[in-house]
Amino acid sequence: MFRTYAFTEMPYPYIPGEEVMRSNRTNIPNSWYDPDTGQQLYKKYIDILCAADELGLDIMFNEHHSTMSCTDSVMPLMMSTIAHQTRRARLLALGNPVANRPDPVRVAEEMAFIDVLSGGRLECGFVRGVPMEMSATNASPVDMKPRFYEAIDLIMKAWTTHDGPFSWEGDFFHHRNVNIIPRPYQTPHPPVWITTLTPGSVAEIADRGYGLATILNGKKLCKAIFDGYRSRFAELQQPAPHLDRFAYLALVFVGESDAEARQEARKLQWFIQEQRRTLPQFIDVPGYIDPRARASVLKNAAHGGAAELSPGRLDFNSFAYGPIDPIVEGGFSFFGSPDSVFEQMKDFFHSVGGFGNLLAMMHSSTMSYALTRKSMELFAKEVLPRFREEVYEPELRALGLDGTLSAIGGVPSSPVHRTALHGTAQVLP
Amino acid sequence: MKKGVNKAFKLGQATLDVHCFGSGDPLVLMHGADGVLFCEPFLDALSARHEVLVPCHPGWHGSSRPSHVKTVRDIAEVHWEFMESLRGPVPIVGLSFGAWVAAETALLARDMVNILCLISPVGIHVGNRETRNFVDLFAIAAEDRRKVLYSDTGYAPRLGEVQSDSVFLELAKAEEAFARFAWQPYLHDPKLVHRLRRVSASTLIISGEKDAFVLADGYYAQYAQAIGDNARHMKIPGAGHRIEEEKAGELAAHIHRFIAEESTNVVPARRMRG
Repeated sequence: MFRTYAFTEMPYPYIPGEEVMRSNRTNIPNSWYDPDTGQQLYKKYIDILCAADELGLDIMFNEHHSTMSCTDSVMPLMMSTIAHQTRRARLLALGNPVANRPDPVRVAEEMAFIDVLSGGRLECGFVRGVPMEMSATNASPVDMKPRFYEAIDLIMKAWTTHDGPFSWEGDFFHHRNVNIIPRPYQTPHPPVWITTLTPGSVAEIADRGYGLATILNGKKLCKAIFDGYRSRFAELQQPAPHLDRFAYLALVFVGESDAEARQEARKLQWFIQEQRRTLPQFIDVPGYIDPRARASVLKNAAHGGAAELSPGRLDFNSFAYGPIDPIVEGGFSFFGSPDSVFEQMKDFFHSVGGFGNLLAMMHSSTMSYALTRKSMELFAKEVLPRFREEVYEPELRALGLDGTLSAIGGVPSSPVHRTALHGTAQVLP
Repeated sequence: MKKGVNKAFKLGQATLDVHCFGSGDPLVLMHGADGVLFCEPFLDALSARHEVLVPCHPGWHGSSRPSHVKTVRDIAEVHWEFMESLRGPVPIVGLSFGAWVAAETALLARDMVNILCLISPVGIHVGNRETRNFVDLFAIAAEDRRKVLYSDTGYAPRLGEVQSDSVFLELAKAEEAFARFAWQPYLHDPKLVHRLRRVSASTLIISGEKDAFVLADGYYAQYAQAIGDNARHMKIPGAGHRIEEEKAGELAAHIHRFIAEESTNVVPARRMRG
């Protein structure tokens, strides 16, 4: 089933302009954050996510640190809140920045807790973490990739070991006694997702069989990333991956008319505008990228060029402030009436070889609950069912995948699979 | 980057790239964060009286880094083996981060090091837990980095005039290596200050009078105190943190003088084997 995960970065948008404060992250004083306002915002964000559940959408979460553009700084806490207040939505953590977390076992515990509390609705993503987080988390920018994968390996073993403690003496993590309680609700473990922004990182994700998510890349780069995953499966002589292994994050606003949607889309562009408010030294961190690639960054900077947040993608100024048409035509966002968004998604779907999950950033800046809910409702009622019926399911039938389920990270993503290893107990009221 | 004679030393899993300059009694130079990219005048001045041997730290220039080498003390263990390959003892000169490496090496290779010149050394923490000892180089703009490292930014490398891709590649490698060893705890090992009393070499600590990178009051004097009576501290007027780039000749002259004075008391060094 094609899924759409509603998403907000839970911004604190009431900050001064760039003329007063050049940066909105890492070094912005938190005196600009008013806790009373922050409390109201958290309540609004919880209401938005609960509305997504009510409307039949799924829900995505992320976390960032030391930034006003994302105040969900401790993702598992918000996930727990939403897990308790919702009944049906799958809850996607995208994700856990495990190369920045000192103890992967703690992450395994947090995710298992949420999986149990939600009755097996967790989709667990792992992300490497953006360079701007290195100072905020105090994590070393070197060796992130091997640290990232060792952390995931340790989490997977913690989730899937049920016969008592094991030890772990890795390159980065050392444990004498790993034995997590609770264990995950889903068996053998929750579906696993990994995010990448470049085709070069795709093979290692495919090799592990994890779901693949990519963000705001547009049609061309997204196709290259998805093609890389499919090609790797072919190289490994495995069956073609199911569409539900692919996820794409876009800004989404559905209005009653194109004109209304384009007007409101400006409020979502705020997210991109805020990404630009990052000081260059927190973007270009030594060790974060390969020295061969960074050499050209250094040369460019020395010769008067600016450090780029995401080289090779739509330039940020255009995405942040430019006209809507190129953003929509390039597949970076879906903005419009229900018919228009349907057509945009259909075009995107066929341009990238199909995908099964839309990660829809449907809220940003000062967007109200009412405005966000209205857009989500139009999407949930007038876009999603039609997209499933006219685009996704016919494609599944054409691929011979109708009625089958993927095995993301070795387990189906739905319905919940659970195994009672030692029977069940009656919980007294 | 100044061209010297390069020699490769195989030390266990590590290959040590040693740059050799000049002739005379040998002297080992432990380079700073940028390797030997920007200190050509200093190397010229220093090698006027000595054979200067620069063993590049693992991860810098042509020196490989075995995966277990993760701390400055691990670097010093590699250099310890290199020092044992010399018919020492020999003097060591260290520059900033390289002075931290030099101090650790002098603690390990005690019999191989007779004289220690620590130029703007880092590696210890002074004051209490909230005393910021150094400007966070990873949190300031490139222009501000120049301002804190040099008393006059006119001495900073003019990278805008550099076209060679290889210089930027060497710089990128050096900065990654520096981040690896300096990130956390930032630019120090909490244990080093307690170990420094075991340094047996005659030690001269030189700092720049206008060093804006080191923030803690009396940092260098406390460094000398931690070593003990065999260490003294002097300042070079008008110099910032990277003295070797700002006052190359003056710094080399102080080092030559100190080595000459102290050499009357120590066993003469011999040439490098091989």
